[in-house]
Amino acid sequence: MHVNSPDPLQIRRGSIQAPAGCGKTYLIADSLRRNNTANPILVLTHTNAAVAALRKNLDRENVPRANYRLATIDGWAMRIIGMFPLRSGATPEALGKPDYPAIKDAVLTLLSGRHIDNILAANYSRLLVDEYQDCLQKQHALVCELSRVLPTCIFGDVLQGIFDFGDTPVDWNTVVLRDFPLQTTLGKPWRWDNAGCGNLGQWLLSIRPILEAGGEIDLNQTPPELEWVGISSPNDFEALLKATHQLPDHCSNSLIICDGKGYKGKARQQDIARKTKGASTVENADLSDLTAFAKSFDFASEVATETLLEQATKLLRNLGSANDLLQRYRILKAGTNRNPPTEAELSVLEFDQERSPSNAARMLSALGNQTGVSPFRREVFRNLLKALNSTQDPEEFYDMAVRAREDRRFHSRSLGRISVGSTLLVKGLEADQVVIVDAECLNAKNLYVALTRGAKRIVVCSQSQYLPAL
Amino acid sequence: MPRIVYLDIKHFRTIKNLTWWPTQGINCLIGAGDSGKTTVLDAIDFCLGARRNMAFSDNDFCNADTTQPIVITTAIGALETSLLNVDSYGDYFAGFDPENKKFEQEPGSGLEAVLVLQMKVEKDLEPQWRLRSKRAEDKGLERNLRWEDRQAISPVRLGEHTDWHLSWRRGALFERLTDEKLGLNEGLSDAARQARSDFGQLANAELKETLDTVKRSAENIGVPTGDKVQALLDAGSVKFGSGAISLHGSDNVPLSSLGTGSKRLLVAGLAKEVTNSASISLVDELETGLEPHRIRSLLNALGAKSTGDRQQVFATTHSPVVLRELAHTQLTILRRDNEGKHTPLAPSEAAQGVLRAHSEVFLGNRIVVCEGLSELGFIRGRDQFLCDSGAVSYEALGTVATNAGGASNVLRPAEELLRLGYPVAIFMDSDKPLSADDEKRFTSNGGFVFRWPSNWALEDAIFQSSPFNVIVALLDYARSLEIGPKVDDHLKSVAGLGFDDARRLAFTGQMNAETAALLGAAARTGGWFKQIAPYEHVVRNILSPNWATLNPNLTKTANELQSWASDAR
Repeated sequence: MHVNSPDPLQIRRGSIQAPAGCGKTYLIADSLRRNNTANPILVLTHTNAAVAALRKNLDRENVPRANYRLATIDGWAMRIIGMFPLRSGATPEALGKPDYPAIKDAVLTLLSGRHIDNILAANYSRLLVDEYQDCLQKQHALVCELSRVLPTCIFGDVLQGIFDFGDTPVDWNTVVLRDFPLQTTLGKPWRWDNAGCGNLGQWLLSIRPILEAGGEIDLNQTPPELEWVGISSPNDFEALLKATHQLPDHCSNSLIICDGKGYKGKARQQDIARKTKGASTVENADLSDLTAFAKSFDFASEVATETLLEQATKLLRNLGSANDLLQRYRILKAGTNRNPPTEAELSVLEFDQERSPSNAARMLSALGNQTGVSPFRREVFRNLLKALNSTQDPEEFYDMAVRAREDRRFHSRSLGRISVGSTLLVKGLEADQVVIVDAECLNAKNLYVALTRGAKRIVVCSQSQYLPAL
Repeated sequence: MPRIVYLDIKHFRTIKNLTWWPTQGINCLIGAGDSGKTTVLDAIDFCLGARRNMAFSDNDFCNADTTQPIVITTAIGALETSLLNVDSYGDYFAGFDPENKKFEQEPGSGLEAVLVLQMKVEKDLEPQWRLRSKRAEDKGLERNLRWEDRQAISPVRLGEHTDWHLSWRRGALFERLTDEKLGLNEGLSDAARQARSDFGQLANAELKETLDTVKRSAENIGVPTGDKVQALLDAGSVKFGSGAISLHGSDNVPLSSLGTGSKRLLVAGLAKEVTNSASISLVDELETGLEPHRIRSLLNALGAKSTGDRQQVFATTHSPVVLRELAHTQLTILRRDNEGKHTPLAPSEAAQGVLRAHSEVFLGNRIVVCEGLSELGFIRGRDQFLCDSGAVSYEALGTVATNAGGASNVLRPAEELLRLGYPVAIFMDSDKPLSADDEKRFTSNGGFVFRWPSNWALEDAIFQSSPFNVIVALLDYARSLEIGPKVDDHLKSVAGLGFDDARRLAFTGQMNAETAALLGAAARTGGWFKQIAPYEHVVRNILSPNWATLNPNLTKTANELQSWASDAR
């Protein structure tokens, strides 16, 4: 693979616009590999998941780790102000919490005071920042300060700016391109060319100006790799599930994107995952459902067994309804059962007898091992078991759940065969096939991110022939 | 190139307490013997040296008092890339303001980033190194320099281990000179194999009988040896370590067998070539083994004349040649006060002239600045006489007398030396005295002025204070000198009587005070004794044997001067 574009190592201060699938990661890897200066290149991005994903890619491309230092902007900021607390004015409290706005102010104080310019210059040969469209205003100010000292090249794509951190992202056209003049836009759709679907890649490039200008795309005027599934309503499950279940032979994995804001979106993803055989949801970095459950679950409560059973039904498909399960549990407990208890039911009774974390883990495993039963929230289920298996002390359950979450935070997410998530959750991931459920809920940027996840096949389920509908 | 911007020594050998801000380039320590100069070099070597084992003993503690730890602290500035690594040292950098000689806890705008390395030895005699940083200590962090960084900043010590630096060993200059990793292991193994095969059957023939005995007894006790027992070179013992390679001249003689001075020159030259390390050199007794012109070569190799200041050199010297070659900024005078506190003093620009003209005085403990050669001869002659009669020479006590070259040249060097902390006395005539203001300023700053009463010059003092027999001896001695034939004329024109008349008057005890004064004037204007040697003779052999008969106008001042000069500690 050869990238024909300006060399990021020659750019003093500028930006490279990188549409999805056009070899940005390769370009970064190639640049880092070619770094023959004494100092590593500082590579910053936004989330721990992005760091983990990029590191995995760089390792796969055999980039020597000594050639670069990779961190999140906030993570790097926290480290550097931790080293210079007086100059930055960072308090241990701000670092401990961590108080991100205070951290951003502190690192700006440190950098704009020019206290460590020579140290920065001695440590890094240059700066690359990935996913710049997600940059917040103060992070942009930080990068600008660094670019006084370090040659800086930023990578980003305004059309992929879908993150919402609850803070104002920096404006791409008026601010980012002013401070980091555009050097080039990557224009070769490697992802699709490599998958033998060059036409699809070209089409995805061709819709960019339309989406950027606020126009609509016609789902009847697309390459053959894109299939439009017309549905009658968002609850047309017959058509939707038919779409989510399909996985042609030439595709080895499938990404199902269903969006919608807030809890409704999440419930919808879980619903689709539960109903799609073999599918599992992509989970948030903070795994909040796991930690919330761990926090509220009381092993000593009278209804602990019922609560745990209920939780199982939220993670495992084909377990039967919660009501039926509870009914059966009560019959078994009263000893009025006609049929003998199954192995799984025995494990429920055992937990009821002795409510220990290990019995809880055994109960959940036994429930999950029943014929036809499988987790549709694999990440939550697996980490729940991990937390329960990590301790004998019910009091420690919550801490173990947090630890499991933190461990996971620094690992790159890997997709199962069929995964269900929102555009936010699947950004940066790719699959042979993408199935977009609820395409009407996506604005232009989210639609672009969703469409570009599929390398060989794209299935769009919508009522309207024209998108975006928002 | 890393350099030391600050050095603090506590309780190490003769040094109870020393704080020093060395400069870039050459820092040549001077001072009286036993003022702790070499101890300073050792302290730097111990604190920054990359040696894994350093043995300390109770005697390394000041006054052998092991209850107080030895603490040597250095701040290292001009940090290079690997020392500026935030991953390693981010919590340890401090800021240094060279202008005001102040540290701040963190680096900052306009400050130089420095690392503060401290070596501490408690009574268990185990040296402990660590970087000092309050914020790191607050976080419970502790670390030393990385070993490779220690090696990189490790000072090169000229004088010791010069042989070592000329062979290929870890950390030796020969090795540091090149970035190449010698692909020598294979070559060395081959050489060992070659040696083994060359040696071959040599021993078999010579040891035939022994080998037969071995074989027979082995067979008798049933130890299998195969067909024969051989004496071959043991492959295991023919192993060449990396130190097996060293520098040789074209005549195959190892460079390590060059003379001391030459080796030091060579090593200094090599140290200059090592670009990535060896920026700090330690040279004890710069002049050792070198002729004056080669001292200049060594100083050049050490960068004495360059302004680039790539290297930082810590040296000691006792050689006036070295002092004359160096600029005042390159010298530091190490002085020790009565409480044992050491103070490094930097000579000002005013000292440059003193340095050129009177370099030897910087090596003394207390200094007598003499108006001229006459005074110098006078004080020496008196000292020689006292030595002959069993006293300890003031020179042995560290007092140095120097010739200022005229009354008008006395004050400047004397004042500068006084400022540098030396006890200084001026010894001069009273015919062209210091101005009252100058003398007052000088004495109120702690200086002493020894001069003759009224407006006497030395000759006036001598002739007007001497009994007749001494005057006769003086006249005879004057006549015996090279200037002797002119003495008669001098006397006639100044005193109005010839040599024979003058001698007779003195000899017969008929000379009045006025005539004696005129003889003094004739001796002064005629310059009879105006050299060191004649005055030495006059004082040692003529005046001193008659000391008790001399007028106190002469002896009081001379005695006071002698007593001051002998008071050196």
